[in-house]
Amino acid sequence: MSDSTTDPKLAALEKSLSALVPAPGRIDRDQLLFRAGQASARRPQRLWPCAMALVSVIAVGLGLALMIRPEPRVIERVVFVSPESQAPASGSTGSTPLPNATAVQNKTESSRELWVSSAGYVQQRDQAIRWGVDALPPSGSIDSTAPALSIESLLGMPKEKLDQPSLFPLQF
Amino acid sequence: MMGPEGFSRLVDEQSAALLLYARQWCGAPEDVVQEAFLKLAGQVKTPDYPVAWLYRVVRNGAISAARSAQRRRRHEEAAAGRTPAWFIPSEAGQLDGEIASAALAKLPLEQREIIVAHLWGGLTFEQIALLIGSSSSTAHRRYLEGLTALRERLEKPCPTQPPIRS
Amino acid sequence: MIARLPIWFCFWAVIPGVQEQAPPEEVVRVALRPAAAPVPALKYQFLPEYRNQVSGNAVIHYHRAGQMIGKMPGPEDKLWQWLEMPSKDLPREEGRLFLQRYHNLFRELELASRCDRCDWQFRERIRTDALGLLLPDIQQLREFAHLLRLRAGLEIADGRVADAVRTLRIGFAMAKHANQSPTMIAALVGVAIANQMADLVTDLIQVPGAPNLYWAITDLPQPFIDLRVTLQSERMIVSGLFSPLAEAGIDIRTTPLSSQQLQVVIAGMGQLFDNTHGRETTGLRLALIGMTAKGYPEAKEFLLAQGMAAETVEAMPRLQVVLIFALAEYDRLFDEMIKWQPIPYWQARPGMAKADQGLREEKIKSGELGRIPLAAYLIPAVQKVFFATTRLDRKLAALRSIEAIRLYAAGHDGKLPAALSEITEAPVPMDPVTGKDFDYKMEDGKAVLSAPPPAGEQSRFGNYLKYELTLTK
Repeated sequence: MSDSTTDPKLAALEKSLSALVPAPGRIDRDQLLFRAGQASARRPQRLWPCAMALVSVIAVGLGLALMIRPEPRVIERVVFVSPESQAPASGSTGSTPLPNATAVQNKTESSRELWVSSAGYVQQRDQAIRWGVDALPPSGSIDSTAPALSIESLLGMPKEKLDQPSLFPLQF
Repeated sequence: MMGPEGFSRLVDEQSAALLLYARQWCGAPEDVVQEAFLKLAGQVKTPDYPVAWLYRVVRNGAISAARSAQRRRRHEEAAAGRTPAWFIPSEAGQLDGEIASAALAKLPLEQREIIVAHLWGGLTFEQIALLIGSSSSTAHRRYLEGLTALRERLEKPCPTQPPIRS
Repeated sequence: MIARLPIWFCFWAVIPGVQEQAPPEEVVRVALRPAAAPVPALKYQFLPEYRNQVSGNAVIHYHRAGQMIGKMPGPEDKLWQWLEMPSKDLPREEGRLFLQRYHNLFRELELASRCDRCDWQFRERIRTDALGLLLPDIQQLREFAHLLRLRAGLEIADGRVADAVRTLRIGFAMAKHANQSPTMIAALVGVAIANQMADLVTDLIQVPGAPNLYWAITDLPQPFIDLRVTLQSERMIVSGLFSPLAEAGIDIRTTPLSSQQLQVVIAGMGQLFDNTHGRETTGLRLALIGMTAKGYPEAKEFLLAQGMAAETVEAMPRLQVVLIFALAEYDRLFDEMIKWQPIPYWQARPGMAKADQGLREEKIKSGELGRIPLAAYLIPAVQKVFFATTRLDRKLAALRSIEAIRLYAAGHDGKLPAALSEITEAPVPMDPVTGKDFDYKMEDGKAVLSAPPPAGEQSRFGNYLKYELTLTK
């Protein structure tokens, strides 16, 4: 007897209907599983946030140490190895300067974040081209780790200026 | 966290039923169902009830897809092409899939989606209630109303001759 | 309606308002009334005129509006049903009541529409935040457009033409503002919003007593959505990826990378291609080793041919050499696509198809020759985007043609022209998709204005147009 009804006729109908097998449709199973693998690899892992947090703490600590100690007297130069010139940049004191190692470390770390974000954009862009903009998630659900564009940054004003009356007094 | 084996089993077991469910709203159910599976794969934590979760995501996606596919009509529509079959062909002695589809299609959406979710999706009425934003008793009531209407329709013969115009 | 269906479709699944089968031919029926041009000719405008603009950044107002909008109604809300209804069927009182809560939001949108610029500051942020983080601002414009659509629909239903023109002006301006964000998604959002406004113009011109909007539509920019900066900005995806290294003085195309820097690049490529979330997997490492081994000779030959010193090439990690070649191929193939952008679609189409074919071949070659598939993964389907913008222009050109027909009818006793060539009151535009005149014929007392799919394509939803025009009193 059905869990849903005590009516034997309805129960019989349930049984008949349940015997029908939904048509499989045109989903490419292999492609779906491949893309699912990609999607699952994109999700943040527990280990990596911890590792990244640790690296970030170290980076912040190093950055603070840099801010506190006096500027070094070494003149920074960046040497480009290019077909046009093998000589160091002008202004050389004759020593062999090196790029600031911590700055390079920080820059390469932020490069990693850019790749992650760009991968997300490329995917959304290609979906929008293929299926239209309605295929995009609504604005509230888009994951963004960047601070929202702030009004004060646009105006170049401190936050308290927001409390003043509108800059555009036109009435309609 | 769901492993690849669990995920692929979910795809094999649920995709056809999810397609049937998505068809209640939109004409491109494959995209909607595919996206739902990909969203599931991208979840940090596997939902406690992944099947129910998939139905919710498919429902939202199908409704969105239907909206974006819909266009303002200021005309009468021409005769249509065939719809994709909802069920694979039945075996002898079984209820005919095409006839069942036709009868199901005539039900109001609010009854039809519950019947599809329960009979082929295996969702409980409590899960369906969460899905449709209502109570389990309402879900159950609509289910029975739909089944009753289906039974009445299936007991009437399907017309096989075009109506005669006078 | 059921009686018209072939009876062996007794399992026809019709859900109210939703098509499930392959789309039937879509015909838009328009009931026209003759109307001469307004005096002055630009009495009605769909974009703010220069003298009515104010100096300011529209983004500020969009942000304020975003803070006012709250949570949009869920998918079952009536709003979405209303948006699909013809304007005449809208429940006006209920709709007006619904929109009352958005009064201040509409004020902000109107203020935005009058701003003389819309600077999303993307160019600076692209270099630091990459494109993926900049989308929520643009996405919100779609939500504003839904509300504008409802407001315009109600105004049209009430016959309040001037109010409807004003609302549509806000919508068209917002579409242009979306286009000022240099991302492809933003351009597509602009297309979508402008398409929705154009559909409402079709309703508006059918309002009894509606003015002739030929010059108002003609005043809109052509093309409406400009892809030049959009396409150029897409290149910033690639250059932006290496900008932190560049800021540290490392030019990936000329400076040999250290082992640490190479690891970052490898991990990043993993994000794009294999999604190894920032760390190598054995699979990716093996794939890259394979690509490097296979692709290095070709890549090295390329760099030497470009004039790079042999010792510089030798000093570079092999993977970097292969990557530089991939970047060069990306530039070459991307330019092959985007160079067609300034050319009218109907002329550019064969060239774009060829460039598209080149990209497809590159995808195959990447696997065969061990090339890093940067171009294959990152270059968007430019041809589709180009067609999307041209399709919008086609709709606007068709509307101009319809308004030209109304002009003709106003000067010819309310009669429809037998051919478009009979219209001398205003120039009838060409179809920007085909570069030819729109098809026009008289059929059973009504006029049929149509435009076919692009050459070689089957009819499918969106790639053709068909209007049935009847004159009414």
